[in-house]
Amino acid sequence: MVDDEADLAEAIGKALRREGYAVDVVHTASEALEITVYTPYDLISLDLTLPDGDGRTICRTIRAEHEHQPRILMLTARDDIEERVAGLDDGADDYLVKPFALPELFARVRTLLRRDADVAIGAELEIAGLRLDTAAHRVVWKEAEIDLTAKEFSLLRFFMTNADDVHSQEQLLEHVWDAAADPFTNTVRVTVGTLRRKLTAATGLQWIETVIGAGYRFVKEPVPG
Amino acid sequence: MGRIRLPSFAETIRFRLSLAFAVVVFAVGAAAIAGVFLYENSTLVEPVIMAEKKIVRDLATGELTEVSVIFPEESQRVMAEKVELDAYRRALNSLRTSSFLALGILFLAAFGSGWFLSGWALKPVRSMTAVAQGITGSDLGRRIGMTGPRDEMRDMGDTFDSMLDRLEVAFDDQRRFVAEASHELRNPLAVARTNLELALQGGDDEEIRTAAAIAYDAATRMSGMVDELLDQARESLPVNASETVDLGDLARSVVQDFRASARQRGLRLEVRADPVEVTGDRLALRRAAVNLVSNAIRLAPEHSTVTVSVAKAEDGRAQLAVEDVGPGLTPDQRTRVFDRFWQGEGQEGRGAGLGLAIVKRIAERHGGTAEVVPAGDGSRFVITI
Repeated sequence: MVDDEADLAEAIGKALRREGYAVDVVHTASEALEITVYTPYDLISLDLTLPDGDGRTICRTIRAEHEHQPRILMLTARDDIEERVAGLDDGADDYLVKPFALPELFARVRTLLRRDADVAIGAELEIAGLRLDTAAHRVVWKEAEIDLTAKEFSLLRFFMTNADDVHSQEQLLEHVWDAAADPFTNTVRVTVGTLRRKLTAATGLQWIETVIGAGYRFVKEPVPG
Repeated sequence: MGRIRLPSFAETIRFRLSLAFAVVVFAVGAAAIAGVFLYENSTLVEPVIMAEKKIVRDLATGELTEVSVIFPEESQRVMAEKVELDAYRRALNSLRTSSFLALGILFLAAFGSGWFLSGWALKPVRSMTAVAQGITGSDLGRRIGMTGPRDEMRDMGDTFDSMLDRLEVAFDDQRRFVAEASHELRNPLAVARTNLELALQGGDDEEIRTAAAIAYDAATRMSGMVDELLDQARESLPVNASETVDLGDLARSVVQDFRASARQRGLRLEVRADPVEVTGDRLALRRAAVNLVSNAIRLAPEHSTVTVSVAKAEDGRAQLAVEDVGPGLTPDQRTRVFDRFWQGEGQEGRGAGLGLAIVKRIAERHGGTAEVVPAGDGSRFVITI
């Protein structure tokens, strides 16, 4: 979340965290360029007018130079058609004008993140009968809701969006936890463990494999276990 | 009884011009023909019989009487002349009939050529009308672009074009201003809205209190901006009063108003004001001085000195200057500081960035200048009128 209005950036960060996303907030263009080099963010919300530079330049730099390509949402008070077109042409995926309603921001964030998933139907992700509603925050297996904590839900959402890929603990930490998380705790291992237990208990299937020395994989075709 | 309604073609200037032209030509033609007839008529005179007078004596009475005697030759001459006159009369009559016909044709021909000529002369007007009809507030790009000799129509077209140029500049300026102003207002609006929305979605007491405080700050910021925007809108009006203003008095009274807020920040506010009189708008000039002084007080480092001075420059122009000892501006900032909506970095309690833009506008409207020059570690803002 890049915005020089500290009060706004913090509020949006808080709102998105409540929705189960891991959010880092910065206020300047230089900070934004620095952290996006090191952290493979899924989505960057970018203000266009920053005290030390402009958001469009950041967007172009990320698109041209960065190895990891995040989704970019431009969040700005500029609303003329020319600005929107220029922003999208610079490589932004979406454009939202301030002031906005939080539900609209959430919906756009969901849409942008869903584009990575090949298992999305509307706001739902579905794999082998396991359904995750990104808008209603529900996980359902055969009409029965599975009760998950916010963190477990975020983890499952990330897994289902990137099913069949192997993710290391570090990657999970980067995508599901924010920069404030302590990289040396075993919080990732613990959360993966509880999620795996809850899914198996509810469905009777093994969804998350441990790949020795590499990390975890969420499989599209779970085996009974 | 209302006015007789003319058919729509008769209401055009082209029709009226053609009709007037035809009537004039007809009248001139008719007068000429009438003149010719009157003259010719006057030359036709009945022949007179010339008789010879003779004195005859009555043989019976011896009385003398005078008698006229017409000789046969004379009678024949008169007969011939009468025939001739009759022929003339008949020719004249027939000429009159054909003249009336010719007059009718002349009228129609004059109307036709008048129609053609006025159409030709009015063509530029029609093209100007077409362009003017195509112009709206959002599309001021069209021009008449008349070519041809430098005549009245071309002058009119060019005048029209240059008026459009000026309108387009004014409209663009206005559009940019609205875009910038709405941008400036949307930011605090977004801050307030998002924080309140978040707090309303099940925040605890503390969260609601924080959101309220943030929304309050945002509202304060917005109302400051609205004031500045209204000032700016008012400043676009022409100078409405030309009175004699003593800049020295004005500076002293502005400084007096700011003593309290200067004290709050631990600033010394000095004033060195000569009595210098200028002609202008007292309220606008005061607004300019207020903006400069409040800027300096807001930004100067604590416990420093802000100096306000009024003096007559060597060339006789009046100068009002506000000088601080920091934080100073970079050359790049100095070129942009008078721009509308320009904001310094990391300024506390910032406004809309219109204050100095307004100062510049007021100075220019008084035929003067506003500039900033470095002064030690700080800056010196000078209005010269």
